[in-house]
Formats: sequence, C-alpha cells, structure tokens
Amino acid sequence: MTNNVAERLLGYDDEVFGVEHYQSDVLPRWCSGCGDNAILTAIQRLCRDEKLLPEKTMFVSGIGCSSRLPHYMNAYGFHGIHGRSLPVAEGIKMARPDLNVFVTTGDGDCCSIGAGHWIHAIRYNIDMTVLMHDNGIYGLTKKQVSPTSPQGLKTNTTPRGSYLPPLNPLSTTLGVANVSFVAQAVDWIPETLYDIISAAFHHNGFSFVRILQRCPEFMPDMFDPWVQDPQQMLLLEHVNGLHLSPELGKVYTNQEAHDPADINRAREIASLTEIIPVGVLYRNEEIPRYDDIRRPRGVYTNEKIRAGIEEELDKYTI
Amino acid sequence: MKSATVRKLKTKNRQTPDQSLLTNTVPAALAARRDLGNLRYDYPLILTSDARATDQDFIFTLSGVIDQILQEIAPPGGTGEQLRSHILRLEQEIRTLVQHGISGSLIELWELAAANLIGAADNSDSLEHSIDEARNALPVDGKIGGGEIVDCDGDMPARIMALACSAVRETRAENFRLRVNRLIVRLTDILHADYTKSDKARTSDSLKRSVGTGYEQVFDFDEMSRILSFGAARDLLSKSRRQRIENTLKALESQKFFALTPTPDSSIYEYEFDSCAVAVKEFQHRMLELVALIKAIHIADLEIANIYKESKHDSYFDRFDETSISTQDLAMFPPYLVYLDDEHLQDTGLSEILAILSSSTPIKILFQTNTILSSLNDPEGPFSTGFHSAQLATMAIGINSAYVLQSGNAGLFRLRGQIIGGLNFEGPALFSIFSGSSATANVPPYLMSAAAAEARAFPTFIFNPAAGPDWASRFRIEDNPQADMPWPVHHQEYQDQDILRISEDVAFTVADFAACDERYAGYFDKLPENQDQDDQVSLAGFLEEENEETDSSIPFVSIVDENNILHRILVTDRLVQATRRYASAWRSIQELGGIGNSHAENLISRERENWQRENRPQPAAKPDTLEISEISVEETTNTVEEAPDVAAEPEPAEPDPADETSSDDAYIETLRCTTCNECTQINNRMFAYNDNMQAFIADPDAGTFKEMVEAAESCQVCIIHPGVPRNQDEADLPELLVRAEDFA
Ligand SMILES: Cc1ncc(C[n+]2csc(CCOP(=O)(O)OP(=O)(O)O)c2C)c(N)n1
Ligand code: SF4
Ligand code: SF4
Ligand SMILES: [Mg+2]
Repeated sequence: MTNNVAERLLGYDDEVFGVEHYQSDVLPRWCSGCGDNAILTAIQRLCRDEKLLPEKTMFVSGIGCSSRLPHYMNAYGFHGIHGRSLPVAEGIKMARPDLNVFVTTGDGDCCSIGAGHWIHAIRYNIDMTVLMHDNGIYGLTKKQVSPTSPQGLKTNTTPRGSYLPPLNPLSTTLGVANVSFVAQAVDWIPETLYDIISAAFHHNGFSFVRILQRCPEFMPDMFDPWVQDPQQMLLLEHVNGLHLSPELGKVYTNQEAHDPADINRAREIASLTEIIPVGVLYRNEEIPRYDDIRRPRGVYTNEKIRAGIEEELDKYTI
Repeated sequence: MKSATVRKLKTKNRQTPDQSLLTNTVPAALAARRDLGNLRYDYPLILTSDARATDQDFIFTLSGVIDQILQEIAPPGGTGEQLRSHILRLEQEIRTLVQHGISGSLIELWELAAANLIGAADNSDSLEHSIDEARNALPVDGKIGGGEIVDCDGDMPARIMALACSAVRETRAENFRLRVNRLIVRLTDILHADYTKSDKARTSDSLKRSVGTGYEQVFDFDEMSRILSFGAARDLLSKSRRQRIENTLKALESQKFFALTPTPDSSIYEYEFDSCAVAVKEFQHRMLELVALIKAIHIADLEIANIYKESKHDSYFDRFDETSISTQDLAMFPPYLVYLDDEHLQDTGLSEILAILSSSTPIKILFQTNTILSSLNDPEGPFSTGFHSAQLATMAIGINSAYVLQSGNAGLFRLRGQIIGGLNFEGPALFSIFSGSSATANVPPYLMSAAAAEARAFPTFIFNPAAGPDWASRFRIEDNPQADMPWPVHHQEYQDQDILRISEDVAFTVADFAACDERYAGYFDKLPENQDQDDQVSLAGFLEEENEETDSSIPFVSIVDENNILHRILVTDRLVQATRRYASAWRSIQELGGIGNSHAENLISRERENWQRENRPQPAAKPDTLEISEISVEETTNTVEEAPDVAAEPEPAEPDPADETSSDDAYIETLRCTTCNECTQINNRMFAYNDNMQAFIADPDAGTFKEMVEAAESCQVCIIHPGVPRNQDEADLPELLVRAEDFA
C-alpha cells in the first residue's frame, strides 16, 4: 500500500519532453535580432522543464508583434483582440482552473488600449503568468508612439518627438490594490529571463513580468547603453528571489540583495531611471485570488446547466 | 478466556457484600462537586442533527453556545450585567431539566426553561426581555438550535461516535461526489465529442434534431449534412479506448459506496456494525467492488488528462488488485465502525478485536467499558488473571500500528478533535471509553468517569502512529489531571464528625474511585473502634511509605455522608493491591508519555556523576605533567600557524571559459545567447542551437571568416568571438581581421 510506488506505476508525469515539443509548425515571423525570440525560447524551456502538457497549457494574447507568440507555441492559443488579452485569459482560468494560463502582451496592447483591463486584472489576482513585452513602441503598426516610449521619440505619430514622459509599468502595477507579483526581466540576459518567468509561473496568483525587449527594426539603439555595459544593470538577488549563477555574477557585478516581501523598497527600485533593475521586485502569496474565492464548488452536469437555464428563462415567461 | 457459562455459574454463588458502608456517601474529594446542577461544565452536549455537519462542528456544549450568545449580545466589560445573569440562570435551568431526564432539542428545552423561570419570577418583564434577546441570537438551524440536548449517560459514547463517524463520512461523501461526478461529466464529454464527429451525427435527421423545434423550415438539412461531411475530422476514438471509457463510466455510475447525490439512498452500503466479524466480512465482501471502483477512478483520471497509454497502462490495470490500492485511495471511502462493550470480551471477542487492530483495514472499534474494577465478587477468585477491559487500550498500543484513544465519558467533548483524528487515521483504531454508568453509583456518570480518570483507574491517552516516528510525538497523556503526579492532589475543606472545619491536601486514588459506587462496598470496612488516630494513614500515604516500617498503620480513605460529615473507612488488602496495580500501570504510561522516564533519569544521573567527577578540583599537578601539557599546547599552536602556509598554495582557479579556449578558436558565450536568429540566418551549419535553443559554433569550417565576423557584428549581445581565420587564403583577410578585433 505504498502510495509512491502506485503513483509511479501509474506514471502520471513520466513523459519526456524536449523544447521541440513546444515548437509549432509555424516559423516565427519576427525580424531577426528581435528580442521576442529570446522570450519564446525561455517559455519553451520552462514548458519543457515543468513538463507542461500542451493540451493543458494556454497562451492568450492581444494584437502586436509580441502577441503573435501563441502561434509559435505548440499548445492552445487565443490570439485575441487588441488590448483584451487579460479579460479573455480571466474567463479561461475561471472556467478551466486546471489549465496553465500564460498571457503575452505588448506595451501598446497592455498599457495603452488595454490599460483598464490591466488595472483590474492586477486587483483580481487570478492565477496566471503575464509577460509584457516592452519595446517602447508599436512594432506591428510600424513605429507608432506607445505609452512607454522615451520622451522626445520621433515616430510616425509623433514626427516632432513625443511630448510626455513615459509611463512606468512597474510603479503602476505596484500601486494597484491586491498586487501580488511584480518582476522585471530583459531579453538579453537569457538566464535571468528564464529564472524570472519560472518564478512568475510558480507564483500563486497574478504574476506580472515586464520584459524589456529589443526591437532592432524600429528602436535599434534604445537599449544599447545597458546591453553593452553590464554596470548599468542592477541585479536583484535574494533567497526568495533571483539566484545568480557564478558565471553571470562575474559579468553583472552590480547587485542588490532585495527581499521581494519589501514593497516599499520595491517601489523605490521600480522608479530608478538611469539603472535597469532585473529580478523579482515584489511577491506576496497571501493575497486573495478572485478565481479561488469565486470557484464553483459543485460539478456542472448537463442536467444542472439545463435546469439553470430553464430557471432563468422561466423568469421571463409571460 | 472463561466461557460465559462458567462465569454465570460462579456469579450465582457469590455473596452480596454489605453495601450500607457506602450508602449515600461520596468520596471526600468529590463532596464539592456532588451537586452537578450548580456547576458549569462540559455537559450537557448538543448533538447536531444537521446532516451537513463537518468534522469541525458536530457537537457543542451548552455552556459554549450560551457563551457565544453572551459574547454577541452582552460582551464582557460592557453593560448588560443583568442580561448576563438572566441568561446564565436560563442555562442553569436547562441543565437541571436535562438532569431530570427531560429530552428534546435545545430550542424545546430553552422554551421550557424560559417558561419555568418567567412563571416563577417576580420581575418577569426584564427576564422575559433578556431571554427574548438571547433567543434571537441563538442559531436555530439543525446544527445548534435544532440539535438534541443530552446529558452524560451510558448511551453517550455510542452517540458521539456515531455522530463523528457520520460527519467524517459526510465530508468524504462530498469530496467523492465532487470528484466522481466530475469524472463522469468529463468522460461523457469525450464520448459526446466523438459522437459529434461521427457520420451518424451528421445525418440530416440528427442535424434536424439538434436544431430543435421552431426553426426546422429555415434549414436544408440534407445540404447541411452534405457540406459538413467535407473535411470532417477523422480522428475518432479507437474501439478499445471507447470500450474502456464506457466500462469506466459504468463502474463509476453503479458503485454503491456513496450516493452520488446528497439524497438518501437505501442501496448504499452501511458502515456501522455491532460485531467485529460482520464488519470484517463486509469489508472483505466489498473488496472486489472497491478495487474495481478505484481502478475506474485512476483510468478516468488518465483518460481525462489524455495520458492513458495502452502499451503501459493496460498491463498495469490488468494486474490491478487489492495490493495496488494506496492509503490515499482508501481514504476516499468511509471508515467502518463497530460498537462493542465489555460484555463482548467473552468468547472470541478479544481475539477478534486484536485481529482488526493488527490489520491495515480502516475498521474503527468503539469499545465501551462499564466496569473498570472487577468487583470483589470476581468469580475467578482473588488471584484472578482475568482480563480487564481497562487493559485493552494499553494492550492495543503494543500493536504499534493502530490508533488508540482512551478516555472517560466526561472527557469526550474535549477530545472531539482526536476522535475525528482516529476516524481519519488510515488504519484501524480503538476508542476505549469508560461510560461511568452504574446503577449502584452514588455519583452521576459524568463524575464517575471523571473520577476514574483522576484515580488513574482509566487514564486518558492517545496513541497516534501517524503523528511521528517516536513515542514523544505519538503518545499523549497531557489530558490527565496533574499528569506528572502519581495521583492528583486536591485541596479539600469539610467538617469532621465534631463539626470542625478541616482543610487538607488529599490525593485521589483508585480506592477513592471505588468509594463512589456501592457495589465496591465490600472492598472497605469500618475502622476498628478504638484504633489510634496516629496509626491511620491515608491510602496514598500508606502506599508511599510501604517500604518503610508500616507495620502498625492502617490505610483509610475519606468519605462524606449526605450531611457533609467526614468519615474515614478502612481500605482492605484486596483494594490496596488493586490500587497498587493501577498505580504501577499509570507509572508505565507516564514513562511512555515522557514523564519520569527511568532510562532518561538513569542517563542523567550517570552523566551528572561523570560531570562531577571530571570537574572535581584536581590535586596540584606534578611539574613534569605540566611540562608535557605545555609542550603539546605549543605544538598545536605551531600546526595552526603553519596552516595558512599550506592554504596559501595556489588553489586551482575556477575555470574561466574565456581562458580555457585559446583565443585562436572562435566561440560563443552560449549562456548569454538570446536566440535572436541573426547568426543562424547567416550560416546555419556554422551556427546552431543547443537543446536550450542557444547558439554555439557547430562547425567553424562550415563557412568563411567573413561570415564569422558578420555574425559577430550582428549579434545584439556581442557574444560571438571570431578567433583567427581558419583559411589563410580567404579574400580581404586584413580588413576582416581589423573588424574582428572588437570581438576578440
Ligand atoms: C482595436 C484596434 N486598434 C488598433 C489596432 C492597430 N494596432 C495593431 S497592433 C497595435 C499596437 C501594438 O503595439 P504593442 O502592443 O506594443 O505590440 P508590439 O507590436 O510592439 O509588440 C495597434 C495600435 C488594432 N489592431 N485594433
Ligand atoms: S518590428 Fe520590432 S518588435 Fe516587431 S518583430 Fe520586428 S524587431 Fe520585433
Ligand atoms: S546572434 Fe548572438 S544572440 Fe543571436 S542567436 Fe546568434 S549568438 Fe545568439
Ligand atoms: Mg510594443
């Protein structure tokens, strides 16, 4: 009657998966050099390492270059409407709590047209992993200004340069009630990109990862100072956060021990301007989850559903 | 074990003892608690009648419910002193009614008590107002208000166990229903999805049916059927999979272990029995069905997750039998409960109980003891080795794998969590409960059972094999009063025969327990008329001084009569012996419970001696000894000082990938690669991805130095290092070498 042996014999999770299991037949159509490729790879590695069943995994996106990601994953996907990835994902998770739900969205998709949904999704704290590819531009529509574009950027919609300072997605997220996980990654340090996405995936609740993503097509030099000089990066290290490998620690020597439980320091780090912080800024597993609170406790059999519909319709019978 | 016949024959021959010695008396230690009606204590209990009771809340105490109401309507510290006193009076009245044998739900007794009090009161208005206010705060559901209110009596252990068992069963039923109904829905969905893909579902008739009434005319179903058959999915369920799913569904739907809806269903199995043999037989009888059901649940899980592999799982499930069932599997199903009492120990009773307790079945036994101390009339004579039911639990602990709980009736409410724990325990359990119910006792069952626990005649303990690997975590005796003492000692005040106020500390022994019940009168005697007071010793004192010179002393216990006058009565040898035996048993239990453990104490005293010996002031050392120790100290210091030199030798440095590869060879810092495709698009034989989709140089000769340099230049993160050209004859080398310098 030893449980473990029985479980092992049943072999619920002894499939061997490789990265290729998660690659779809569609080849990525991103420009070469695009940071989206690094994000895709990190996600595929995570799926492999966590042995996520493709049929139990869901990628939801809006519209944008970044939002093409679900096409490139061998899993379920929902390439939705511009700015609406989060409400779609929320519906999926409520109805199918057994699925692993990922959202890929862009700075335009999330912080511009989708900003209203973004704020409420943070507060709902429904269990899902959100990757916001922030290239500071609308890439798909060929260089239009986005809320995170640097001030003064000349784009097709701001030929004389943009007028306002950019919105800070980290500070914004950290300011919303019920926030439970905020991290920042950059596409050009793959090791930490993977670790941060993995931490986000393991978090119990809504995990928001802003990923600074290079768009060599329209913003070729945007991140150069940071890509070329590791000293301009600040790596947040902690037992409850990111662990750096010795190799990486030698390249990125500018580090800070930051406890993700400390929201005040997280807010200070989020507002740094010259330096790019990388790591888990904030994490709190105790925050209530809307999907947990509102989870239906019974089973919806066909009879039950039919009875429910009848009951509703009866209210309108004359 | 003697047969019942022998026992009965001998019983007939016994002599009736002189019971007058204990008529209307109680042990002095219980004098103050004699009238329970005036006390606030754990009883009566409210047994919830709500079928949805969970294992958290199946019984309540009257005082607990009243406290909660008071907390709500008159929290302490606030005003409302009058309200509080009114409601406490009501509680007292309800308690008195229950003690007089009036039964009913809490609400019914509440109303009755209220009417009594209001009828008798002078200022009935304010009293009525208080009671109304409290009544509004009383939860009226089946859990509390509608629950039956009952006193501590001989039926109580069985009633509490039945309720606990049904609470556990209900919790499991709910989980089971949720799980199995969900499996049924999902499996049906798979079959349904398959059906919609089939040709049958695409016939015009069936399409017509699926549209329903009202709109049939709007569609051309023949055309619809024709169009739908183009590009129809062909991946239908294989025959074997369909069969498997159908069989699984059948097994799930026809099981009889739980009703799949909360409505009562008489075809569902029973789980409560009054015989070990029947319980075991039923358990075994259902085993085949249990195995089939558990197998179906596992297959359904695998099918729904879409990971059932015939090559692997078919043979596993072909061999699936009782041995394949895990404890988690078993924990989905209700525990079995057998109700027994001490009568059952005759004949094969004991061996049946022990067989169950040594098994790994989830059969739980309530063993109710009504007699702890075999009365003087023991048919087997004074040197009997007959088995006493009070020893059953201690014996069961020896089995080491069964959950054992022993308690008196009075302690059951406080141990309700442990009762549930025993029912939830994966294997068998024994609940050995002393009811305290005796027709000849001078105190009610509540006090009788509490006295048995105090006297160590029936100590409270719990042995939980699941709590840890050692005695410290498994065995708990802390629920006994003054558990670190041989007997609890109480401070008493009463009057003696000359009406003088006396106060003293009195231990409560097995003899005091025996003095509660007239059937033990034969164990006592009057003290000899002109006996010297100085020679009279309390029984506890007598046993303590046993090894000393006690020739002339006589052991006694104190009792009080109905006028609260104190008397001493002599304890006869038989009872002294019995008390000694129980005391020794308690001593062993204490040791197992970590109190005064003799092994530990021996070890401590040995260690203490060693320590004292070693730290004894040393006689002045001789000069040469001193020298030797000095030398050795110096030597040690030297070694220590030398150590840094040894350590200073160059350590093998951490291999640095850049150092390791000679700068002649091209290389990529693969760990930092962002999978951007730049290099692989330049030459995908020269640059390739590894398992992690990060680039490395697959073949430096698969392309030109020019491609190498171009890749290094395109690489966004500058991690491609071109090395030196492999082919010295390549065109434009001087220019390329200059460009490569940036990436050296
Ligand atoms: C409702 C709606 N409005 C506008 C558009 C046009 N549109 C397509 S993508 C896009 C912006 C995408 O930017 P971002 O989310 O940053 O994605 P990126 O391409 O940069 O990855 C816009 C405005 C649209 N598709 N739908
Ligand atoms: S336009 Fe920019 S963001 Fe879009 S694929 Fe090209 S590089 Fe990537
Ligand atoms: S160019 Fe650099 S980052 Fe891009 S795939 Fe090649 S090695 Fe990796
Ligand atoms: Mg963008």
